[in-house]
Amino acid sequence: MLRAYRAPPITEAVIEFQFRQPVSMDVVNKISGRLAGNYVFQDHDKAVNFLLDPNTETSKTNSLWQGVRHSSVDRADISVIRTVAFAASRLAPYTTWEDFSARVERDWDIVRKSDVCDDLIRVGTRFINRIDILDSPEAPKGINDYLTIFPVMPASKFGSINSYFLQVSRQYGSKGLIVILNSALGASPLLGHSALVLDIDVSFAGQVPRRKEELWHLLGEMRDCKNDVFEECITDLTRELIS
Amino acid sequence: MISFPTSAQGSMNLLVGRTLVPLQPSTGFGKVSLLIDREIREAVRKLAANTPAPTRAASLEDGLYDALSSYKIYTAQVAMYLDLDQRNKLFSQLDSLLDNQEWPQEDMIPSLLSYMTLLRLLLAIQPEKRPGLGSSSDGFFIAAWTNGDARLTVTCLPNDILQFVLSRDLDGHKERAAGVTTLTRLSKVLAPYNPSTWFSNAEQLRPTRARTLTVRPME
Repeated sequence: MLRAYRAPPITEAVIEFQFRQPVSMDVVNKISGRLAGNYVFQDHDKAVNFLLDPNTETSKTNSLWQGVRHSSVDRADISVIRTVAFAASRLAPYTTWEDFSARVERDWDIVRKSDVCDDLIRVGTRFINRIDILDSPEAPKGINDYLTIFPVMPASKFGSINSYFLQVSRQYGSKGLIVILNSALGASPLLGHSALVLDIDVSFAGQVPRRKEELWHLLGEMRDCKNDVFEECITDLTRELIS
Repeated sequence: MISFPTSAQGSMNLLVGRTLVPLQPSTGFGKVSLLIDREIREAVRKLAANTPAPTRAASLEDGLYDALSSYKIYTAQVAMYLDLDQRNKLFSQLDSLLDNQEWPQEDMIPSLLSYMTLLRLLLAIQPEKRPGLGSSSDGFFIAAWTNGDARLTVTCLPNDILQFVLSRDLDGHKERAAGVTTLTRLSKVLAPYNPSTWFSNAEQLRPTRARTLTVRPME
């Protein structure tokens, strides 16, 4: 089922292609140079590393260059080329899959020109949703009023839940898709609101097709899976909030 | 070696397909586990803080660039509640305010925490009249509304703390007030001064209460 919402609760959408073999910094820089024409900003993409020495109980922190991040002028469209993967991200406001996937396709056409980059070991999509709930005496207060995935506990003498984090990983359908579903109580950036986070990660780690048409067909299936999971995990009350 | 790839939002959000584990080692674990736990917590704290305090960056240009970037990325957290025009105008104000050519060398760059307060203020009051934006020399955002002689200036401190200065004619007398309050209290504090003068629709301000979500048994 495909529904369009007035205010999609997606805070970040990501598509990621992981390379079978890491590529060199030179390759990353060449690809980055070509991607730069599509974006306004370029920044180094760094990982924070720390080395721990248990004998002296000391640690050393440093940052490690792993690629280049490109951003649009409003910083909502992001494209990252790393030695191990290419990832594109869209921050809110999320418009449509068609807009998002068209940009990813445009950038992927640049990345895949490098032969070493079109041999993929994994394709993943991730959609992070945050559902903001107004704190009011009239609003239903049960997590299960908003989500169909939530922790179940014996009623007994437990009070209300202060926090929870729930993660489920399952196969989806028969085409080798894996769904990792995270649900949690989170902080809302809005005054006087609580938030529920529904984080849907869909991946395929089988024989990833090299042909672009087949790869995009796979992404389409992953998108359908994401939509199905989202619709199955929210209630009508949540649909009202975002419609 | 433990590696934390950073993400677009300064967190670990861009990771795809990773399993998250609660950072709660048992006290029965060895000292290495506790050391790892301490280092992870410190690294996460630094990542989450992003720009924790007003800064005088080594390079002013880099500092302004990083700050502007962090404001826009944080705005994405609430962008679904802003229409495109509101968002574009806000970004235009920020671009103008943090213009490298205009920025006074001696001024602190406003922190992300101050920006978070500003954004929450704007979302809470949904003013019909957009404020003028400025910043204090010690690194905090200022929102200012003017309607004739009636003026309201709000300085946004971290953690929803607001400093305000106002002046307006009431019953034929010029009245001035200043104070420090919180975002949740602002409506009550401004109520005697008829804040719709500045916001047009300030009656939408409402106090909020703490609330906890619970799980009800399934029917």
